Amino acid sequence: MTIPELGPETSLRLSRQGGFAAVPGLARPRQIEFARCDAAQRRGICAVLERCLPVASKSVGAGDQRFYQVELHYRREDADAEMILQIPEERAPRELVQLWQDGAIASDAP
Amino acid sequence: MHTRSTFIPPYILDRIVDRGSAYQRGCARITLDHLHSLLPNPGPPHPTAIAELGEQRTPGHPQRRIHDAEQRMQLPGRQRRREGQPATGDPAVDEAYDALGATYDLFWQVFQRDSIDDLGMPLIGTVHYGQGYENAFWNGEQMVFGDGDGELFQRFTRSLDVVAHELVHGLIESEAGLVYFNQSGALNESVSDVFGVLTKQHSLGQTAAEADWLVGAELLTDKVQGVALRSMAHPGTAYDDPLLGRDPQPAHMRDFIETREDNGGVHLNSGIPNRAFYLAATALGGYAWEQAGRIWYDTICDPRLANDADFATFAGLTLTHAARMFGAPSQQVEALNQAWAGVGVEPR
Ligand SMILES: [Zn+2]
Repeated sequence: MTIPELGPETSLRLSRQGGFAAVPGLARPRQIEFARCDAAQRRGICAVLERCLPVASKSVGAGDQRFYQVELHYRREDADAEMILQIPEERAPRELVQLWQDGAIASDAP
Repeated sequence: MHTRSTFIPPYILDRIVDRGSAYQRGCARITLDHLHSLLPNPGPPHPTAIAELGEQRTPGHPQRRIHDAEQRMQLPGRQRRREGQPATGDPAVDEAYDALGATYDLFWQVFQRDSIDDLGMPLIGTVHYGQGYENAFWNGEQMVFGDGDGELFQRFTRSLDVVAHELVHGLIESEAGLVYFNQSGALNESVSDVFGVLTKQHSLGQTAAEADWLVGAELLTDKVQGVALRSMAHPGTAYDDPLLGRDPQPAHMRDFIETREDNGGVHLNSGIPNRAFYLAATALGGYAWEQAGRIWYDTICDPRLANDADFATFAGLTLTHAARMFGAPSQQVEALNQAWAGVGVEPR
Protein backbone atom coordinates (compact mmCIF):
# COMPACT_ATOMS: atom_id res chain seq x y z
CA MET A 1 0.00 0.00 0.00
CA THR A 2 1.37 3.37 -0.96
CA ILE A 3 -0.01 6.85 -1.19
CA PRO A 4 -1.28 7.33 -4.74
CA GLU A 5 -0.03 10.15 -6.95
CA LEU A 6 -1.92 13.18 -5.84
CA GLY A 7 -2.62 15.89 -8.38
CA PRO A 8 -3.79 19.47 -7.79
CA GLU A 9 -7.44 18.36 -7.84
CA THR A 10 -6.88 16.32 -4.67
CA SER A 11 -8.77 17.17 -1.54
CA LEU A 12 -8.25 15.79 1.93
CA ARG A 13 -10.53 15.71 4.93
CA LEU A 14 -9.03 15.00 8.32
CA SER A 15 -11.14 14.53 11.44
CA ARG A 16 -10.92 12.97 14.87
CA GLN A 17 -13.70 10.56 15.63
CA GLY A 18 -15.15 8.19 18.17
CA GLY A 19 -14.64 8.26 21.91
CA PHE A 20 -17.12 8.17 24.75
CA ALA A 21 -17.80 11.87 24.20
CA ALA A 22 -18.30 11.54 20.44
CA VAL A 23 -19.94 14.96 20.15
CA PRO A 24 -20.04 16.97 16.90
CA GLY A 25 -17.89 19.77 18.35
CA LEU A 26 -14.91 17.51 18.98
CA ALA A 27 -14.46 16.08 15.46
CA ARG A 28 -13.21 19.43 14.14
CA PRO A 29 -12.81 18.23 10.56
CA ARG A 30 -10.16 19.99 8.52
CA GLN A 31 -10.56 20.22 4.76
CA ILE A 32 -7.43 20.74 2.67
CA GLU A 33 -7.53 21.53 -1.06
CA PHE A 34 -4.29 20.73 -2.85
CA ALA A 35 -5.06 23.44 -5.39
CA ARG A 36 -4.51 25.98 -2.62
CA CYS A 37 -1.24 24.48 -1.38
CA ASP A 38 2.21 25.10 -2.81
CA ALA A 39 4.44 22.23 -3.89
CA ALA A 40 6.32 22.08 -0.59
CA GLN A 41 3.10 21.92 1.39
CA ARG A 42 1.81 19.10 -0.79
CA ARG A 43 5.04 17.18 -0.28
CA GLY A 44 4.67 17.80 3.43
CA ILE A 45 1.13 16.42 3.47
CA CYS A 46 2.17 13.36 1.48
CA ALA A 47 5.02 12.76 3.92
CA VAL A 48 2.53 12.84 6.81
CA LEU A 49 0.27 10.37 5.01
CA GLU A 50 3.19 8.04 4.31
CA ARG A 51 3.93 8.00 8.02
CA CYS A 52 0.31 7.06 8.74
CA LEU A 53 0.23 4.03 6.44
CA PRO A 54 2.03 1.59 8.75
CA VAL A 55 -0.21 2.45 11.69
CA ALA A 56 -3.51 2.68 9.79
CA SER A 57 -6.05 0.02 10.60
CA LYS A 58 -9.47 -0.99 9.34
CA SER A 59 -10.86 -1.80 12.76
CA VAL A 60 -10.49 1.19 15.02
CA GLY A 61 -12.54 2.82 17.72
CA ALA A 62 -13.69 -0.20 19.74
CA GLY A 63 -14.49 0.54 23.37
CA ASP A 64 -14.56 4.31 22.81
CA GLN A 65 -10.95 4.57 21.63
CA ARG A 66 -10.61 7.67 19.49
CA PHE A 67 -9.10 7.65 16.01
CA TYR A 68 -8.19 9.96 13.17
CA GLN A 69 -9.85 9.53 9.81
CA VAL A 70 -8.22 10.76 6.61
CA GLU A 71 -10.40 10.84 3.51
CA LEU A 72 -8.47 11.47 0.32
CA HIS A 73 -10.34 12.35 -2.86
CA TYR A 74 -8.20 12.34 -5.97
CA ARG A 75 -8.20 11.54 -9.69
CA ARG A 76 -6.89 8.24 -10.98
CA GLU A 77 -6.96 7.27 -14.66
CA ASP A 78 -9.53 9.96 -15.34
CA ALA A 79 -11.86 8.74 -12.64
CA ASP A 80 -12.66 9.94 -9.14
CA ALA A 81 -10.98 7.83 -6.53
CA GLU A 82 -10.97 7.78 -2.80
CA MET A 83 -8.76 6.42 -0.08
CA ILE A 84 -9.63 6.28 3.59
CA LEU A 85 -7.11 5.87 6.35
CA GLN A 86 -8.07 5.32 9.96
CA ILE A 87 -5.38 5.80 12.56
CA PRO A 88 -5.81 4.90 16.24
CA GLU A 89 -5.18 7.94 18.43
CA GLU A 90 -2.43 6.35 20.48
CA ARG A 91 -0.49 5.42 17.36
CA ALA A 92 -1.05 8.63 15.43
CA PRO A 93 2.17 10.33 14.25
CA ARG A 94 2.69 13.70 15.91
CA GLU A 95 2.70 15.34 12.47
CA LEU A 96 -0.83 14.10 11.80
CA VAL A 97 -2.09 15.46 15.11
CA GLN A 98 -0.50 18.84 14.33
CA LEU A 99 -2.04 18.87 10.88
CA TRP A 100 -5.46 18.20 12.43
CA GLN A 101 -5.02 20.63 15.30
CA ASP A 102 -3.35 23.57 13.63
CA GLY A 103 -3.24 22.77 9.93
CA ALA A 104 0.50 22.81 10.40
CA ILE A 105 2.78 21.14 7.87
CA ALA A 106 6.53 21.00 8.10
CA SER A 107 7.54 22.71 4.85
CA ASP A 108 10.79 20.78 4.48
CA ALA A 109 9.38 17.40 5.50
CA PRO A 110 11.78 14.53 4.83
CA MET B 1 2.85 -2.69 4.25
CA HIS B 2 -0.17 -4.59 2.94
CA THR B 3 -3.63 -3.72 1.64
CA ARG B 4 -4.87 -4.89 5.02
CA SER B 5 -3.64 -1.69 6.59
CA THR B 6 -6.36 0.46 5.05
CA PHE B 7 -10.08 0.41 5.18
CA ILE B 8 -12.13 1.24 2.14
CA PRO B 9 -15.88 1.07 2.74
CA PRO B 10 -17.55 -1.60 0.60
CA TYR B 11 -19.78 0.82 -1.31
CA ILE B 12 -16.75 2.61 -2.67
CA LEU B 13 -15.16 -0.64 -3.73
CA ASP B 14 -18.37 -1.53 -5.54
CA ARG B 15 -17.97 1.61 -7.60
CA ILE B 16 -14.42 0.72 -8.53
CA VAL B 17 -15.56 -2.74 -9.60
CA ASP B 18 -18.10 -1.12 -11.90
CA ARG B 19 -15.87 1.40 -13.54
CA GLY B 20 -12.25 0.65 -12.79
CA SER B 21 -9.52 -0.87 -14.93
CA ALA B 22 -8.96 -4.63 -14.95
CA TYR B 23 -6.08 -4.19 -12.54
CA GLN B 24 -8.15 -2.08 -10.17
CA ARG B 25 -11.01 -4.57 -10.40
CA GLY B 26 -8.65 -7.29 -9.32
CA CYS B 27 -7.47 -5.30 -6.34
CA ALA B 28 -10.98 -4.27 -5.39
CA ARG B 29 -12.25 -7.83 -5.51
CA ILE B 30 -9.48 -9.05 -3.30
CA THR B 31 -10.31 -6.39 -0.75
CA LEU B 32 -14.05 -7.07 -1.06
CA ASP B 33 -13.52 -10.79 -0.48
CA HIS B 34 -11.40 -9.89 2.45
CA LEU B 35 -14.14 -7.68 3.87
CA HIS B 36 -16.76 -10.35 3.34
CA SER B 37 -14.71 -12.93 5.15
CA LEU B 38 -13.89 -10.64 7.97
CA LEU B 39 -16.04 -8.91 10.50
CA PRO B 40 -13.49 -7.75 12.98
CA ASN B 41 -14.19 -9.23 16.37
CA PRO B 42 -11.69 -8.22 19.00
CA GLY B 43 -12.41 -11.49 20.80
CA PRO B 44 -12.47 -11.93 24.53
CA PRO B 45 -10.40 -9.58 26.66
CA HIS B 46 -6.78 -10.52 27.11
CA PRO B 47 -6.68 -11.14 30.82
CA THR B 48 -2.99 -10.53 31.27
CA ALA B 49 -3.43 -9.96 34.98
CA ILE B 50 -5.52 -13.04 35.70
CA ALA B 51 -2.68 -15.52 35.61
CA GLU B 52 -0.84 -13.36 38.08
CA LEU B 53 -3.80 -13.57 40.45
CA GLY B 54 -3.83 -17.35 40.13
CA GLU B 55 -6.04 -19.08 42.67
CA GLN B 56 -6.67 -15.81 44.48
CA ARG B 57 -10.08 -15.63 42.84
CA THR B 58 -12.58 -14.08 45.21
CA PRO B 59 -16.13 -14.56 43.84
CA GLY B 60 -18.40 -11.85 45.18
CA HIS B 61 -15.50 -9.44 45.69
CA PRO B 62 -13.78 -7.38 43.01
CA GLN B 63 -10.02 -7.16 42.56
CA ARG B 64 -9.50 -3.48 41.79
CA ARG B 65 -6.26 -1.75 40.86
CA ILE B 66 -6.21 1.93 40.14
CA HIS B 67 -3.21 3.43 38.38
CA ASP B 68 -2.15 7.01 37.72
CA ALA B 69 -0.82 7.97 34.27
CA GLU B 70 0.38 11.29 35.76
CA GLN B 71 -0.83 13.22 32.68
CA ARG B 72 1.19 11.04 30.33
CA MET B 73 -0.27 8.52 27.90
CA GLN B 74 1.59 5.43 29.06
CA LEU B 75 -0.50 2.55 30.39
CA PRO B 76 -1.12 1.36 32.98
CA GLY B 77 0.88 4.01 34.85
CA ARG B 78 1.91 4.06 38.50
CA GLN B 79 -0.25 1.96 40.80
CA ARG B 80 -2.04 4.10 43.39
CA ARG B 81 -4.65 1.94 45.07
CA ARG B 82 -5.14 -1.82 45.32
CA GLU B 83 -8.13 -3.75 46.58
CA GLY B 84 -8.78 -3.12 50.24
CA GLN B 85 -6.45 -0.13 50.56
CA PRO B 86 -7.87 3.09 52.05
CA ALA B 87 -8.88 6.13 50.04
CA THR B 88 -5.98 8.11 48.63
CA GLY B 89 -7.54 11.57 48.75
CA ASP B 90 -7.14 11.90 44.98
CA PRO B 91 -10.76 12.19 43.78
CA ALA B 92 -10.07 10.56 40.40
CA VAL B 93 -8.39 7.53 41.99
CA ASP B 94 -11.08 7.10 44.62
CA GLU B 95 -13.99 7.71 42.24
CA ALA B 96 -12.63 5.09 39.84
CA TYR B 97 -12.17 2.63 42.72
CA ASP B 98 -15.68 3.17 44.05
CA ALA B 99 -17.35 3.15 40.62
CA LEU B 100 -15.66 -0.09 39.55
CA GLY B 101 -16.79 -1.58 42.86
CA ALA B 102 -20.38 -0.44 42.26
CA THR B 103 -20.33 -1.94 38.77
CA TYR B 104 -18.95 -5.22 40.07
CA ASP B 105 -21.72 -5.24 42.71
CA LEU B 106 -24.51 -4.80 40.15
CA PHE B 107 -23.30 -7.73 38.06
CA TRP B 108 -22.56 -9.95 41.05
CA GLN B 109 -25.68 -9.21 43.09
CA VAL B 110 -28.18 -9.18 40.23
CA PHE B 111 -26.69 -11.56 37.65
CA GLN B 112 -24.23 -13.60 39.77
CA ARG B 113 -21.49 -12.61 37.36
CA ASP B 114 -17.92 -12.55 38.64
CA SER B 115 -16.38 -9.54 36.88
CA ILE B 116 -15.82 -8.74 33.21
CA ASP B 117 -15.16 -12.30 32.07
CA ASP B 118 -17.16 -14.08 34.82
CA LEU B 119 -13.80 -15.51 35.88
CA GLY B 120 -12.88 -12.83 38.38
CA MET B 121 -10.81 -10.71 36.02
CA PRO B 122 -9.14 -7.88 37.94
CA LEU B 123 -10.64 -4.44 37.31
CA ILE B 124 -7.78 -2.24 36.22
CA GLY B 125 -8.35 1.47 35.77
CA THR B 126 -5.96 4.29 34.91
CA VAL B 127 -6.81 7.89 35.79
CA HIS B 128 -5.12 11.21 34.90
CA TYR B 129 -4.49 9.88 31.39
CA GLY B 130 -3.07 12.55 29.10
CA GLN B 131 -3.34 16.32 29.44
CA GLY B 132 -6.85 17.72 29.47
CA TYR B 133 -7.88 14.46 27.86
CA GLU B 134 -11.61 14.54 27.18
CA ASN B 135 -12.36 10.84 26.85
CA ALA B 136 -12.70 7.52 28.65
CA PHE B 137 -12.20 4.14 26.99
CA TRP B 138 -11.70 0.40 27.29
CA ASN B 139 -8.59 -0.75 25.42
CA GLY B 140 -9.18 -4.50 25.50
CA GLU B 141 -7.42 -4.95 28.84
CA GLN B 142 -8.31 -2.08 31.10
CA MET B 143 -10.30 1.11 31.57
CA VAL B 144 -8.78 4.55 31.04
CA PHE B 145 -10.05 7.95 32.17
CA GLY B 146 -9.02 11.47 31.21
CA ASP B 147 -9.27 14.57 33.38
CA GLY B 148 -11.25 16.56 30.81
CA ASP B 149 -10.17 19.94 29.49
CA GLY B 150 -11.85 21.81 32.35
CA GLU B 151 -13.64 24.09 29.88
CA LEU B 152 -16.26 21.68 28.54
CA PHE B 153 -15.53 18.45 30.36
CA GLN B 154 -14.60 17.61 33.90
CA ARG B 155 -12.81 14.40 34.87
CA PHE B 156 -14.50 11.34 33.42
CA THR B 157 -14.60 9.43 36.71
CA ARG B 158 -17.18 11.87 38.06
CA SER B 159 -20.01 9.93 36.41
CA LEU B 160 -20.59 6.45 37.80
CA ASP B 161 -22.45 5.49 34.62
CA VAL B 162 -19.41 6.44 32.53
CA VAL B 163 -17.02 4.22 34.49
CA ALA B 164 -19.55 1.38 34.34
CA HIS B 165 -20.06 1.96 30.59
CA GLU B 166 -16.36 1.35 29.95
CA LEU B 167 -16.30 -1.82 32.06
CA VAL B 168 -19.33 -3.12 30.13
CA HIS B 169 -17.40 -2.73 26.86
CA GLY B 170 -15.06 -5.36 28.27
CA LEU B 171 -17.95 -7.57 29.30
CA ILE B 172 -19.51 -7.38 25.82
CA GLU B 173 -16.18 -8.38 24.28
CA SER B 174 -16.17 -11.52 26.38
CA GLU B 175 -19.81 -12.33 25.54
CA ALA B 176 -21.61 -11.19 22.36
CA GLY B 177 -18.47 -9.58 20.89
CA LEU B 178 -20.69 -7.11 19.03
CA VAL B 179 -18.65 -5.72 16.11
CA TYR B 180 -17.98 -2.03 16.62
CA PHE B 181 -19.46 -0.89 13.32
CA ASN B 182 -22.91 0.11 12.04
CA GLN B 183 -25.90 -1.39 13.88
CA SER B 184 -23.98 -4.02 15.86
CA GLY B 185 -21.64 -1.23 16.97
CA ALA B 186 -24.58 0.93 18.00
CA LEU B 187 -25.89 -2.04 20.00
CA ASN B 188 -22.48 -2.36 21.64
CA GLU B 189 -22.71 1.32 22.62
CA SER B 190 -26.33 1.03 23.73
CA VAL B 191 -25.77 -2.02 25.93
CA SER B 192 -22.87 -0.17 27.57
CA ASP B 193 -25.13 2.82 28.25
CA VAL B 194 -27.90 0.53 29.54
CA PHE B 195 -25.73 -1.19 32.15
CA GLY B 196 -23.98 2.10 32.86
CA VAL B 197 -27.22 3.74 34.00
CA LEU B 198 -28.39 0.51 35.67
CA THR B 199 -25.22 0.58 37.78
CA LYS B 200 -26.06 4.11 38.88
CA GLN B 201 -29.71 3.27 39.58
CA HIS B 202 -28.69 0.13 41.51
CA SER B 203 -26.16 2.09 43.53
CA LEU B 204 -28.69 4.81 44.38
CA GLY B 205 -31.59 2.40 44.89
CA GLN B 206 -33.64 4.20 42.25
CA THR B 207 -36.68 2.83 40.45
CA ALA B 208 -37.11 3.28 36.71
CA ALA B 209 -39.55 6.10 37.42
CA GLU B 210 -37.13 7.90 39.76
CA ALA B 211 -34.06 7.70 37.51
CA ASP B 212 -33.00 10.53 35.18
CA TRP B 213 -31.82 8.14 32.40
CA LEU B 214 -28.94 10.50 31.58
CA VAL B 215 -25.45 9.34 30.59
CA GLY B 216 -22.48 11.42 31.70
CA ALA B 217 -24.50 14.11 33.50
CA GLU B 218 -21.63 14.91 35.89
CA LEU B 219 -19.03 15.39 33.15
CA LEU B 220 -20.16 18.68 31.67
CA THR B 221 -18.98 21.96 33.18
CA ASP B 222 -21.37 24.79 34.07
CA LYS B 223 -20.37 26.53 30.84
CA VAL B 224 -21.99 23.89 28.67
CA GLN B 225 -25.60 24.32 27.66
CA GLY B 226 -26.76 20.80 28.29
CA VAL B 227 -27.66 18.28 30.97
CA ALA B 228 -25.54 15.28 29.92
CA LEU B 229 -23.81 13.62 26.97
CA ARG B 230 -26.77 11.40 26.15
CA SER B 231 -30.36 10.99 27.23
CA MET B 232 -31.80 7.49 27.07
CA ALA B 233 -35.32 8.78 27.69
CA HIS B 234 -35.16 11.48 25.02
CA PRO B 235 -32.21 10.91 22.70
CA GLY B 236 -31.23 14.08 20.87
CA THR B 237 -32.01 16.45 23.75
CA ALA B 238 -28.96 16.12 26.02
CA TYR B 239 -27.15 19.28 24.91
CA ASP B 240 -27.31 22.16 22.46
CA ASP B 241 -24.19 24.22 22.88
CA PRO B 242 -22.17 26.61 20.70
CA LEU B 243 -18.96 24.61 21.23
CA LEU B 244 -20.21 21.04 21.62
CA GLY B 245 -22.82 21.33 18.92
CA ARG B 246 -26.23 19.78 19.23
CA ASP B 247 -26.98 16.26 20.49
CA PRO B 248 -27.39 14.37 17.19
CA GLN B 249 -28.88 11.11 18.55
CA PRO B 250 -31.99 9.76 16.83
CA ALA B 251 -34.78 8.32 19.00
CA HIS B 252 -36.57 6.41 16.24
CA MET B 253 -35.71 4.33 13.16
CA ARG B 254 -37.23 6.97 10.87
CA ASP B 255 -34.34 9.23 11.88
CA PHE B 256 -31.65 6.51 11.64
CA ILE B 257 -28.37 8.11 10.55
CA GLU B 258 -26.43 6.57 7.68
CA THR B 259 -22.91 7.89 8.03
CA ARG B 260 -19.30 6.96 7.56
CA GLU B 261 -18.34 8.95 10.65
CA ASP B 262 -17.83 7.29 14.04
CA ASN B 263 -17.73 3.74 12.64
CA GLY B 264 -21.13 4.17 11.07
CA GLY B 265 -22.57 6.30 13.85
CA VAL B 266 -22.16 3.86 16.73
CA HIS B 267 -22.55 6.68 19.29
CA LEU B 268 -25.45 8.18 17.32
CA ASN B 269 -27.84 5.38 16.43
CA SER B 270 -27.40 3.85 19.89
CA GLY B 271 -30.11 6.36 20.85
CA ILE B 272 -32.70 4.08 19.24
CA PRO B 273 -32.11 0.89 21.30
CA ASN B 274 -31.40 3.15 24.32
CA ARG B 275 -34.89 4.56 24.14
CA ALA B 276 -36.36 1.08 23.59
CA PHE B 277 -34.79 -0.01 26.86
CA TYR B 278 -36.09 3.09 28.64
CA LEU B 279 -39.61 2.52 27.30
CA ALA B 280 -39.60 -1.14 28.36
CA ALA B 281 -38.15 -0.44 31.80
CA THR B 282 -40.51 2.41 32.63
CA ALA B 283 -43.53 0.45 31.36
CA LEU B 284 -42.61 -2.48 33.60
CA GLY B 285 -41.93 -0.23 36.58
CA GLY B 286 -39.97 -1.05 39.70
CA TYR B 287 -36.20 -1.47 39.57
CA ALA B 288 -35.07 -1.53 35.95
CA TRP B 289 -32.38 -4.14 36.57
CA GLU B 290 -34.89 -6.72 37.83
CA GLN B 291 -36.85 -7.31 34.61
CA ALA B 292 -35.68 -5.25 31.62
CA GLY B 293 -32.06 -5.50 32.80
CA ARG B 294 -32.33 -9.25 33.25
CA ILE B 295 -33.76 -9.64 29.72
CA TRP B 296 -30.97 -7.51 28.21
CA TYR B 297 -28.30 -9.36 30.19
CA ASP B 298 -29.48 -12.79 29.06
CA THR B 299 -29.65 -11.51 25.49
CA ILE B 300 -26.02 -10.36 25.36
CA CYS B 301 -24.89 -13.62 27.00
CA ASP B 302 -26.86 -15.74 24.52
CA PRO B 303 -24.48 -17.50 22.09
CA ARG B 304 -27.19 -17.23 19.43
CA LEU B 305 -26.64 -13.47 19.31
CA ALA B 306 -24.39 -13.00 16.25
CA ASN B 307 -21.53 -10.54 16.62
CA ASP B 308 -22.88 -8.56 13.66
CA ALA B 309 -26.48 -8.55 14.92
CA ASP B 310 -28.68 -5.66 13.85
CA PHE B 311 -31.40 -3.96 15.92
CA ALA B 312 -34.16 -6.24 14.62
CA THR B 313 -32.25 -9.42 15.49
CA PHE B 314 -31.34 -8.11 18.92
CA ALA B 315 -34.97 -7.08 19.54
CA GLY B 316 -36.18 -10.54 18.51
CA LEU B 317 -33.84 -12.19 20.98
CA THR B 318 -34.95 -9.90 23.84
CA LEU B 319 -38.51 -11.13 23.15
CA THR B 320 -37.35 -14.75 23.16
CA HIS B 321 -35.82 -14.25 26.59
CA ALA B 322 -38.78 -12.30 27.94
CA ALA B 323 -41.10 -15.14 26.87
CA ARG B 324 -38.81 -17.75 28.41
CA MET B 325 -38.54 -15.88 31.70
CA PHE B 326 -42.04 -14.54 32.11
CA GLY B 327 -44.16 -16.55 29.68
CA ALA B 328 -45.93 -15.59 26.47
CA PRO B 329 -48.25 -13.90 26.52
CA SER B 330 -47.10 -11.91 29.49
CA GLN B 331 -47.03 -8.32 30.58
CA GLN B 332 -43.27 -8.31 29.98
CA VAL B 333 -43.50 -9.53 26.37
CA GLU B 334 -46.25 -7.00 25.71
CA ALA B 335 -44.17 -4.15 27.19
CA LEU B 336 -41.20 -5.17 25.07
CA ASN B 337 -43.25 -5.33 21.89
CA GLN B 338 -44.55 -1.86 22.62
CA ALA B 339 -41.06 -0.55 23.37
CA TRP B 340 -39.54 -1.78 20.11
CA ALA B 341 -42.56 -0.56 18.15
CA GLY B 342 -42.14 2.79 19.88
CA VAL B 343 -38.73 3.25 18.24
CA GLY B 344 -39.74 1.75 14.90
CA VAL B 345 -37.81 -1.54 15.21
CA GLU B 346 -39.60 -4.66 13.99
CA PRO B 347 -38.20 -7.59 15.94
CA ARG B 348 -36.97 -10.48 13.81
ZN1 LIG C 1 -18.77 3.25 24.61
